[in-house]
Amino acid sequence: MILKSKWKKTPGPAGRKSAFTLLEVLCASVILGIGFVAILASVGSSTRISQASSEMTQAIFLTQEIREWTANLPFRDTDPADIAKPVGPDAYSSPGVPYVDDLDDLMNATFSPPRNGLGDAITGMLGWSQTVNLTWRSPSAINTSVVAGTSDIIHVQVTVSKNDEVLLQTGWLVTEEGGVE
Amino acid sequence: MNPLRLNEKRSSRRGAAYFMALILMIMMGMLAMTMSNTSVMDLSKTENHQDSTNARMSAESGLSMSLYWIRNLRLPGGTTQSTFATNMATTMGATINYTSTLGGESVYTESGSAVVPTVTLPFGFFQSRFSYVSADRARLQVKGMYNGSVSYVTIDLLMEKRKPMVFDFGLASMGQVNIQGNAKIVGLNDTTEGSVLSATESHLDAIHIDGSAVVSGDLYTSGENSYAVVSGSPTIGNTTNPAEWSSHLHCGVEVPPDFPELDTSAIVPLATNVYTGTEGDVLTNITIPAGTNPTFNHDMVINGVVYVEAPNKVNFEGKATLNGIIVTEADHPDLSACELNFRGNVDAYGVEMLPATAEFAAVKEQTGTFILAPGFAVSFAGNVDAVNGSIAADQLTFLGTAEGIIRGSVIGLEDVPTILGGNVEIKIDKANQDPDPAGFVKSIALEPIQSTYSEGL
Repeated sequence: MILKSKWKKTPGPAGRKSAFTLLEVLCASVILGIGFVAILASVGSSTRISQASSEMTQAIFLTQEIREWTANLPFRDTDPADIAKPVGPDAYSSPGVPYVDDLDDLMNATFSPPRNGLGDAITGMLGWSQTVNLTWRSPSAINTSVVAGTSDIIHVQVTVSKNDEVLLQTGWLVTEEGGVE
Repeated sequence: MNPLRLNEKRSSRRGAAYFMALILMIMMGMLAMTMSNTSVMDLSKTENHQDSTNARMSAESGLSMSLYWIRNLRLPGGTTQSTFATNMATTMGATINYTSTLGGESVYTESGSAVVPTVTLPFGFFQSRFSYVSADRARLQVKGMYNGSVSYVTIDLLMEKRKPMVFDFGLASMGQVNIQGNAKIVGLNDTTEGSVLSATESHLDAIHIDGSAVVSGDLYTSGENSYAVVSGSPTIGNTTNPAEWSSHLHCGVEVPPDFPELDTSAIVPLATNVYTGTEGDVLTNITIPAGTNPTFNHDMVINGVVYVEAPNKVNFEGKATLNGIIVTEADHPDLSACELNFRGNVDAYGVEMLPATAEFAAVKEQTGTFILAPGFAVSFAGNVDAVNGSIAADQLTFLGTAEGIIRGSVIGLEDVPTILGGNVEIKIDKANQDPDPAGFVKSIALEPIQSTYSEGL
């Protein structure tokens, strides 16, 4: 195989035009191949990173939605029928999904599809879930849990997952009479 | 041409393909690196976003906790810009200093602000700062931190003057409270009006309820590890069922209610007549000089202001009718030398009973208070019939058959026992209590102004 070179037009000793040898071409191909492999690897890696980044952004969004929801919920149940009930969900809107009208109704709740700041289901987020865990905290030792319902301070912990893989876990404090809506 | 020269030329062209391939590979490598860097930057941005979200959550948590800390906090009524930080640090620190929440540290002052030291949370940290803005406004700024990210939230606080919180109780004492015999403290309009608070720090057994005593409201103690002792067959929280008493007993309340500062400066000048003992049976706006130690053992009427200088032992042993307000001088150290004793038949009514004449015009503005006796021990041991305002004294003792409607609260100002015994019946009327009782300085409550909430510096 002879490759013509545009800029090497000097004829060879036997009257043939000069060209790259097979060895040169093979070596060049190997070098180019390495470059292509690097690019392909980089593209694959970038795609994965972008996807992870996008999912993390989505997870942060879903956490903030729960934060909004908890900010708008009353700390205690105002429904006279539920006031004397123990903390935790008082009723379920569907199997496993609590009916939420105050903060402690979110105890150990998992929402899939996830919920927005108003507590409504978000469509088009198949496989995503938000899990909410509540722990009541001692005012004098904020990182110490006390018996549920015995304190005016609740730590809300949210875990956002996609297809059962945990993407983000964070939390915040909510206090009675200490909220800003 | 010399073949050797030709070969030299050819050999000089060798490597051009490698060179081109290398250039291309370098370009492709740079492209790959750029793509990789862009992705890494994206990921870094997302991680920063995650960190700043956690910082923001920490700031929000700090705001929530800070508002929780100040929900029942009261600053002294005379708080100014120069005393704001110190008063804030002192009052807030009384409940949160040296706790595990503050990592064993305490609230401190810095550049005119009160600063709550860094609080560690499961997902970040926060630090709160309270600053004076104007006579009726303070500012709360909370800094949330996580992994190098910082977020701020700010809200303004309305500094609103309100009656001290002890006015929420029927009987509130800085000392131990003993309610014995057939003594009753009940709400006139609602059972909860007859509540009792002891803020003693000298006794763990802050409240004693014995015999057939009746407390229609709940019992509260604010001292750490304090408790109430109940014996006999009393009524507590409007129930005689011992099984239900525990739900009406609140020991070690987290935020002790503030007791009032007193300011008698507007009342004392109204006592324009100096008592000499020769005035007859009707006294008007009198000052009883220190050391007089009078005993009123005949029927008499006292109208307007009675100002008692210290030391003095004033005894009402006959039938006395009081229409007005009694105030005392506060600066004598010996309580045993400063007494007001009501031992006879006393009818006591408020300033509204005074005639609308010029001599009482200013007195009639001093509404809502019956006795303001700092530095004095006040005892009721006879037959007292009163419809009047709040009573405050260093020490209070109610025995005999005192019966009265108090439109306000009964307040013990010092950590000495308050005693109710005999057949005393105090009816607390909160529905008709004066919103601004004379001589009591309003304290300052901090109320968040929701519309001023902002994020960022």
